[in-house]
Amino acid sequence: MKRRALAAILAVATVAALATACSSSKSSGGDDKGLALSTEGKGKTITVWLQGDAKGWQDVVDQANQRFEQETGAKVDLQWQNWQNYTTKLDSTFAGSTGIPDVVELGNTQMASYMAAGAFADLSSLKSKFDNSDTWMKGLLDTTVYSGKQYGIPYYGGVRTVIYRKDMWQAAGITAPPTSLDELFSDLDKLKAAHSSDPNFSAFYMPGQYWYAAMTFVHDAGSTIATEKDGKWTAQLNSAEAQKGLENWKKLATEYSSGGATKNEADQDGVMAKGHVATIFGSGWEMGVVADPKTGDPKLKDQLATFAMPSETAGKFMPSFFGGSDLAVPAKASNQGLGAEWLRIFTDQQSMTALAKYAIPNSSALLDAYQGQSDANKISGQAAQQTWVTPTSPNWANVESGNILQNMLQDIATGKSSIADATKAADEKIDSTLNATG
Amino acid sequence: MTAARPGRVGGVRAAGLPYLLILPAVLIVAAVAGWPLVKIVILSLSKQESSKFALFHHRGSTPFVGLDNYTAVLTDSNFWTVVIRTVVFTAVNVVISLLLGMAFAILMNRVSNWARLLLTAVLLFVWAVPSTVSSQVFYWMFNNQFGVVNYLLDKLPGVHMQGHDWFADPVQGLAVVSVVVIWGALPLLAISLHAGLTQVPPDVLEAARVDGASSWQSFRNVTLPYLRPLLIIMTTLSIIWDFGVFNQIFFMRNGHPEPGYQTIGVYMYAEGVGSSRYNVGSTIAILMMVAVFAMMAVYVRQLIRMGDTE
Repeated sequence: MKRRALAAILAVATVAALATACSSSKSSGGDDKGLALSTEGKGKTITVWLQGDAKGWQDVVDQANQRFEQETGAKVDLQWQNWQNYTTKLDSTFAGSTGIPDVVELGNTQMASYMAAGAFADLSSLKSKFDNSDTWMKGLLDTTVYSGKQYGIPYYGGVRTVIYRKDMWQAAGITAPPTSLDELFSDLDKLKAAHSSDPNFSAFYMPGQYWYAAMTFVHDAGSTIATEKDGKWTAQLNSAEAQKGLENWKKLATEYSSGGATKNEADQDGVMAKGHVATIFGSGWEMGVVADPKTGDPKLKDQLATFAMPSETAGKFMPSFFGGSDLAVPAKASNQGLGAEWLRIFTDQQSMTALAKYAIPNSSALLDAYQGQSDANKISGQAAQQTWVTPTSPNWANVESGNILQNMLQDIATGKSSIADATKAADEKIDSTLNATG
Repeated sequence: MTAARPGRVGGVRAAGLPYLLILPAVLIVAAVAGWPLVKIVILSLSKQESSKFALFHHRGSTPFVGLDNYTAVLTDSNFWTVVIRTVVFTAVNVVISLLLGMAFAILMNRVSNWARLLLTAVLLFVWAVPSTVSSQVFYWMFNNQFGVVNYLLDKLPGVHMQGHDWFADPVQGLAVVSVVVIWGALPLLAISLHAGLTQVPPDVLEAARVDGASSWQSFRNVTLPYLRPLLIIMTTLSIIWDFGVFNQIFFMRNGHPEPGYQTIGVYMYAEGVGSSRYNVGSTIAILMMVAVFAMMAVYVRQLIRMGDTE
């Protein structure tokens, strides 16, 4: 009886809180202050948009859904999404007033433009209710805050490392992972020589549109994509340092890679599984895709290992792009309180510890749990300590959706343009895109 | 219960019936085609303020700016590059698909019944394949490493196509796209033109032969004049379809056609939807529609003329 009374009070309180949250969000377009977690979901269904990557950790999703449904009585309608043209879908959804999900996943590089556009509910007042919120990974935390307000919850991240075929590398007479870029190139020469009879062989498969990889070389050479001064962005790809980095990337993409000049990295795991590729640059979970019976070749399961991409400076690694995802509650969602509660459960200690088996969880406090899983995790956990992220301009998403970097790199990889010309043209586009107003 | 016999509805009450019956169709067309069209025209005449924010909150006003968007698009050199590329792409595709369609039609006219039946069945099958599927299939056939096209070409003496990347150069890439477009256009053209060929009176052809006309002469001077109205309609329709090609390019370039692959339809998507600049996209859409309407005029005029002669 007592419990029921308490539940009733709680329900009234949440409804009241929700009502104020809704009304204020409607009147002021997103900068509400009263959003509360809700556990009153009987007869309701919340819609959650997660990217298909999470099919790799379905057990984590399932246990969170189960706990959420038990606790609130609401149902979860999980709708799998696809990164391809995702921002276009988000734009058209948020522009409307129906079919808006209660929870969305966004790439950490996509967050800024949506936070600036008031697309998400302000979760600042709830931050302390989220587990590990004081140790959230910096590469994610930075992408969830806009003008001092918390609009998103860090979800997971990852860094890319070199994934190689132990059998092929050993057969080519290489015994230890390279410790400098020069050493990597000379190792690849040995691999290339050992497979000279295979015209489809890639000592290192590097797709021509793989901008995360190319920009890693740019950062290793001491440059970056664009810098900001007094609110004005200046693209840096035409700088001498960046061109030097791209020179190294081009060598990899043209001398040691075959067949990928006009492709992106989306299917590189399947390509590797076909047996003509000795090395790729990818996230740790991609090893699972390469060796998956459905998408790859299970015989390769014990033949894959990783090392961090060696820097041009001997003994160092290249800084890694910290790619990842954040989660947010849309400002126009109809079940904001429930959506936030689902988020709380999906990112709590229990969920994130389970997630640590598959990806770098949202908190540095859980990094040990991640690194303890495998040798590969140990290496990527190390690489995750020195990272780079894309420019934090709200317009950055337009650089991505405009394919500016991909087109530039493809022109370089296919030899259509020189590095100097391609970077000059790209810089002009990046400048005008990042500094666009209105 | 005595069922009313059909045809007894006659009299004055039935006069309005046809209008009543067509009303739902008119309403649906007005709702799904008319209203969006009005919105697109309005969009193309307004200015888009702070893009995403205005989009999500309807807050930023969208002031009427007259033809500013049109001036901006029409003075953009990229737009004209795309227009020229589209015209060339359309011309090449229309000419080749009509020539091949005609060749198929003549072939169907000559072969025995079972062969014609088989050919028709195959053509219908091609027709039934959605362009999204055929684009994927052809994309794989032209894959640089494991595609069957390179494999077969490489077998030819003196030809080295191993690892050749068809999509590195947009001209070659668009040629591959053309193969898919023409492949998909052939069935309708071949079957329609074949139907047209059967309408050419055999006695006239016979007379021409008796008069000593070669087969080219009788085709040129007897068959073609009979086919002329049909050919004009098929050409106009082909131009309209090839002008608006989107799927094949979009799918063969993995959803992100490079600038060199942008024909007007793809350009409109990339500039409008792809980069959330809906006013620009609408403006290009209207310009594209005007161009298509101009081509349609030829088609409609021919239809009316054909009605007159009958």
